[in-house]
Amino acid sequence: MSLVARHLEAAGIPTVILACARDITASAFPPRAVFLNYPLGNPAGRPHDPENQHAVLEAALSLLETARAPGTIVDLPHRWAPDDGWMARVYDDNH
Amino acid sequence: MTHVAYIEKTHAYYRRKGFGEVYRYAHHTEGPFQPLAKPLAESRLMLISSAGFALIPEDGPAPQPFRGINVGEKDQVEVFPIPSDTPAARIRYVTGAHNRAESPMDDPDAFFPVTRLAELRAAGRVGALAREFLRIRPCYSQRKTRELDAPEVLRRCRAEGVDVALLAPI
Repeated sequence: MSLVARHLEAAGIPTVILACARDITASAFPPRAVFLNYPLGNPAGRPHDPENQHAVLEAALSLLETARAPGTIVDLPHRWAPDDGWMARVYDDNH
Repeated sequence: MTHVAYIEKTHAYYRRKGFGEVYRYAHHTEGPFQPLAKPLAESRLMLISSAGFALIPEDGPAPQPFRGINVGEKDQVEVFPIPSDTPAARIRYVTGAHNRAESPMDDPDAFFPVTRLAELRAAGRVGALAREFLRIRPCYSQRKTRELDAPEVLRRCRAEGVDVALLAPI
């Protein structure tokens, strides 16, 4: 998706990515991204939590307004769960 | 742990599964940058998703699952328009999810935020929404993305007079 963002940006359309995979996104050096440390599949916020979803979208819109250089990634403060056990289970064969 | 090391984990996973060639993620150290041309309150916004969802018809059979990632078997444009006023209740995730035990995928606004964007539009935070948002199929071919899908996304953005784009990779 970062490649699509780069293509649009190069053609004059400002972009922002909602990213749950920070390393993949950063590797592709997109113009702008907000990083939400949630499991893949929830780039626009926590399911059934409109307030959280609004916070994520507002952060993305704000970044469109404030970023001054390409490759800007803002780390959002939201946590998926009180502990980070879900992160250890990613690509666990038994999961 | 501040974030999951997806690149390292996917490489290890596919090695364990016996795949010899490891997927090479896009890597750049510089890139384009276009400042906003006008305030968001006067801008038209496009939403682009790579989530594998389908629309439930008003009346008719439920959507069928379709294949998730294009692993290179097709070399054709895979960009699909979704009316931006589609109710979230008609959007159903139909492909195998990553880690579904962690992500129920039962709230479209968590991956294709039509309701939230309509609210932002109504509140005047953004000036307008594209008439049709876009879904693209995930693809392992960076060449196909660059040469086929990205230009089609751009063509549709220009046809709609889009000023800014929000991208939501799955």
